[in-house]
Amino acid sequence: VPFPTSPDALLSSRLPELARPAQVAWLRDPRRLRILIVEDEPDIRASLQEALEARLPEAEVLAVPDATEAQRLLTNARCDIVLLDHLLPGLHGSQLLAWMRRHRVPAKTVVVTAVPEQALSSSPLMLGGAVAVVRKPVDLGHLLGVIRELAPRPGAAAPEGPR
Amino acid sequence: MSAAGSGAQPAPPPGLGARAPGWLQPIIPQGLLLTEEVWRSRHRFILLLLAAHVPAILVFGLWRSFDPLHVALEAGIPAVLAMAALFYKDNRKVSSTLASFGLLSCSAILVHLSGGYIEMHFHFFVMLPIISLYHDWTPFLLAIGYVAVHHGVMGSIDPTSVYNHPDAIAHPWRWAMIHAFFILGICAASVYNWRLTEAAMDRQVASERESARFATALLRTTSHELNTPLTPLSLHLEMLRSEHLGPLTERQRNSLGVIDRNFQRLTRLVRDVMEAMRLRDGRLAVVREPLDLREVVQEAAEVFGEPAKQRRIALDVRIPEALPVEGDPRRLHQVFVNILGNAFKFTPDGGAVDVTAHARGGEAVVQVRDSGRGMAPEQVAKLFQPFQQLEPTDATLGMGLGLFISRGIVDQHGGRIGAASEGLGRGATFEVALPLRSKAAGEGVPSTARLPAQAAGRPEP
Repeated sequence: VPFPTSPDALLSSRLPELARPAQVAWLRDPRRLRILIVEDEPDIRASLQEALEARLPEAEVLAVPDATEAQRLLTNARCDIVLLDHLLPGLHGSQLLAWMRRHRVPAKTVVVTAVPEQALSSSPLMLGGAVAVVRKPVDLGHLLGVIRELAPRPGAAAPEGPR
Repeated sequence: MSAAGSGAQPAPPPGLGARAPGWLQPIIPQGLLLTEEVWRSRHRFILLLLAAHVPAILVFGLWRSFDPLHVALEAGIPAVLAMAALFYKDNRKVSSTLASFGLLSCSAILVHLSGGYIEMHFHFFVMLPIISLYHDWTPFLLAIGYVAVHHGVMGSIDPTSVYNHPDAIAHPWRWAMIHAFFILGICAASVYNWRLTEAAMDRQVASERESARFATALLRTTSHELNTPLTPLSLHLEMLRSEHLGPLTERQRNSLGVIDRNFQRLTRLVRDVMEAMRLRDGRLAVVREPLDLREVVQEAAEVFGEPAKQRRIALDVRIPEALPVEGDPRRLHQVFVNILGNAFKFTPDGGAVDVTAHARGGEAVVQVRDSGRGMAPEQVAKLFQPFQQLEPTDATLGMGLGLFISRGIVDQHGGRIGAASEGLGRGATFEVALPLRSKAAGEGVPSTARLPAQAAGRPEP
């Protein structure tokens, strides 16, 4: 997927770029918890997806490499939790957050970052509407705890028992 | 240019080099060498020397049987110049030129009072390197002009007071030019000398700056790049260990244990480097939320419950009251884990680690006392500096960044961290003091500050 050359142009557009269908798609199961991973590092993306699928079998986990793909998936479908890498090629994490707010995407965003200062309430991501920060390297137990707190319906992401 | 008296590092005045044409640049000093402080101390010395010439000239003149009034007039010249140099002491160029002029005048006066003895010219050749202490070309230019004009004029009026051989007495201006030519030689040699020194220093500074820049860039990129692969490692280790990828044999489980232990160590090292970099760059910042320091300390102590049992170390935590402070629970957890980790490292099996905390004078004070090997006073003094290792050969200790980072975090909270030891073999005490949250500020916790911190704030063990 070629990245848009101007993130600002993409932000202000009425989404012509998004007319193309996303490369992955949600299953049409409205009951499942939907988690979207936005991460450009392939191994982190794949292992996050695999680990969450293993530990949260009741959740549907999709993973995309950049914000444009994320926009495609968030445009017309429900998503509960977005795990967002803040340093992305093309659109940055905070720009995706701004876009989500403008288009009233209700998903809760968890920033996954190596920079703990992103958790400060004054950081651009927190001001942009992120609800939590998970530090890299990701500790799976900690991430699962955060997801359980944010899951919309009790039981949707039921605990699996001790890790 | 005016002299800035109070500036921490007053910039040296722009030298002639800054305005010199290109072909002169390699030989003219840039005037970079003398700081205000160094210049002032040199100027003070030269003024003292000049003042000392006043009585010396008086004594010498009277001894040579000159008329006292004549001698007083001659001695008055350096006195007036010294006072003028003091009067203009805030103008480097003017003041140094006046003082230099005074010293060169002393040479001429002494030659004159001696009756034109050639040996008195040695005085002049001592004064030249002394005025070269200013690292300024103006006094030198003055010296050349002074010698040429003085010898020419005086040689014409009163030849024997400056020259002592027939050809010079017959042709005073020719010999004035010969004298001036040698002075020019000395001046050119000195100026070129400064320039060479400056160039050498420039090269050294540039190369030091370059290597510092390289080291910083290397650390910043490598620590970030080293951090990236840790996430897939962590997740796959977790999946293997939880047997989501299939059942494990005993030997595989042991092998995983080794991998995991070293993965944890690598994670800590990379994290410490990144934190130390942020601390150095002033980018390390902390979340501020109301919390009970007692809980933070207790949670940190729980991390050491298992090691304490295994090593028969009596871990005693006594915190009688809640300690409301404002801060970053994750960061403070890190601080106390670090301090307790050190206490456990240096305490032998069967020893004791005591943790106490109480409110005292508006502060929450936490003390961690161990019965370990203790420290010598000079070790205590260096404890919170980076790369300090009590025992550099012990590879398990990491890089010695832990206490440096802890101090940075405590500083960010407006608190204090300190250590004391009664000496080697007598244990050590670490103390952390944080400002207590006042009752008024404790009410009405803003919910916005709370949500991210709750989700992100639980420290991982």
